[in-house]
Amino acid sequence: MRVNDWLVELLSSEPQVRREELSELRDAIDAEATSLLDASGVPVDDGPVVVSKSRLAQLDRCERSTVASWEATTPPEPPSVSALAGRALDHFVAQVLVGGRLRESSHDLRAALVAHGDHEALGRIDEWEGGDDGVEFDRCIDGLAAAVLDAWTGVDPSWAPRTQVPAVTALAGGRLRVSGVVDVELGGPHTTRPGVVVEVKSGAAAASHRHETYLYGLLVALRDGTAPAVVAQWYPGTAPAGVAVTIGVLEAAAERLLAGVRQWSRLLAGAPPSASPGVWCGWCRVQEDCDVAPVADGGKAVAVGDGDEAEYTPEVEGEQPW
Amino acid sequence: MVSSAATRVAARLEAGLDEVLGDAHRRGPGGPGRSADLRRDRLVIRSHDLLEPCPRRASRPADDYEDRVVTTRRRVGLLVLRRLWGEAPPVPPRGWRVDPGALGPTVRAVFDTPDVWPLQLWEWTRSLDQAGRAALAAGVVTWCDGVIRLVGTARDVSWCDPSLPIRRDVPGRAVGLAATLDATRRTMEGERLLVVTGAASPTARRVLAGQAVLVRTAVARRDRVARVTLAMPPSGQLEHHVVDDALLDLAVDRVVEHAALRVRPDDAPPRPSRSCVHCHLLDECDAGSEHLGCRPGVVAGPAAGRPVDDQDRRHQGTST
Repeated sequence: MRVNDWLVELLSSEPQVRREELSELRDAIDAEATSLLDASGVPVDDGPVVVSKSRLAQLDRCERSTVASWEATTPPEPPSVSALAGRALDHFVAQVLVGGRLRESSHDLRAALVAHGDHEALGRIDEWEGGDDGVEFDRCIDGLAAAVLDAWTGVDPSWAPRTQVPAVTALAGGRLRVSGVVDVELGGPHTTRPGVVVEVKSGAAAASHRHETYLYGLLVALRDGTAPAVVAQWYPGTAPAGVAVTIGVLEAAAERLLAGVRQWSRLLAGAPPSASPGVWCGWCRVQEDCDVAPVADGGKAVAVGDGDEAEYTPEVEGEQPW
Repeated sequence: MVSSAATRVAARLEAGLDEVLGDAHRRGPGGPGRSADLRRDRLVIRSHDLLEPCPRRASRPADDYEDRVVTTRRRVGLLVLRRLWGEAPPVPPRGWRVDPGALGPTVRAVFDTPDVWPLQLWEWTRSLDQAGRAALAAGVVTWCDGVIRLVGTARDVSWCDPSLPIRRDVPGRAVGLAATLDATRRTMEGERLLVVTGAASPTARRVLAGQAVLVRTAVARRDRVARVTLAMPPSGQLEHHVVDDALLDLAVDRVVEHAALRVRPDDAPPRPSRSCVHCHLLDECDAGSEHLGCRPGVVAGPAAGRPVDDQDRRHQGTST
């Protein structure tokens, strides 16, 4: 299904969350976050506690691995085929939405990486050139590019599509920053279309993806003061899987967020992290010192996520036109 | 701000620089006479230089600028906003607004208008192929949309020309002050400035606001600035700073402190933190290496000088 056809079906969607409900939810999150940080013992002088979508996903997998990557003083391992495929997908969607077309996937990806100064990814692709990984990667991104062209071509400009949009909120008087980068935003309060948030995923569908999308809905709602009408995940070759944003969806996102804040602030205060084995052990920094890690798979099992998220500014009260 | 305040601040800046620089970076007798010498001798202090928390790193700023989407989208975005606003009717009808859906076509139109671009930026853009320009265009659309969403579409906004950097030389000194400034508005009580930023801490934002006014008013001695607004699209917030003595004194003091570090880098103490992992000086900094629990040089790999972890980005000053 083409995304534009799906959007047409959403034209009559209305935000289902009243501003007062959103305001009350924000106050409740803020109070709970303050209480959690007060109880955690995290030193205030260490700066704000940062909880990004990526960190919440990491914490869901393994506390020990999360702490190890946070404490790391060496560069991370070079990206795997699947991790780079995720970046490629984001670039292809942006290119089609803004440029209208793709020509040759490998060439276009390189050009986008050059524009972004992503030397790490370019170097990795060069390493793979001529080898099995290179063949696998080219095959992978050819499929992604075809799926993107098929789905994302022809989105009506009135939806004002924008890609890789940061959304940040500060809580607990600036002691906590929650951040994410939304893959695609469409419509919204400054347009004539309902607000739609789409998370683009290159891997297999997972239950956690739905929660990530809810979190984006919450962050966009807190940023704009108005909840989007719909949040969705899109996987290549499928129709967008959308959910109407209700106060219940936002409350579920808030609950998961606060659980992550509780977990992360406890770890920052020095609590010993627990270890949970899984496919992520393949790219864990402390895999060799870990008693519970299974045999490494070289980091090829699944994509870790969508990469590091840009961090931005805490909010300030007193919004008014400048 | 009235002109007497500008005069007072200019005097405070001059006295401060006299104290920390002495005859260094002075123009006129004893200083560089030829323009080539002046360029070489000039000390340029940018807004984001003032936000660096480690004195040692501040004393020797990294010279690793590279044109890429994240470092150019703001300047290209200003070209787009200037064009969008330029296309507005001279007397807009009631309810006139910029259509966010017009951003994509306007970006494409700007890409086809070479004469409005800063030369170096235009040459870099031309070096990209179609897909590379699409990547840049996508970043520009997102930046512009965030700004419009936040600051609205008032007709009387004057977006800054990225070909004309906001930089002024301090009178009598080979010292240039550069500020980030995105738009201005003239009002009855004076000029209003707009700075689009991602600065994390309230203090950093105040320094950015102060530097913008300092460069705009006290050094240029031109306009009366009534207010500075910082726009932060990622959080959807606007923050207003009234221009008063405290704001300007803060800016002057930061400039003087920074100038002192730059002329005596060997005296600048390190302030180790988790940011050390990305520092371009880590190879030669015992304190930073000790803080990270490694020998000097061990960490200096591809990550040195580049932020990779969100916790370390909180000190980054401006969003481009």
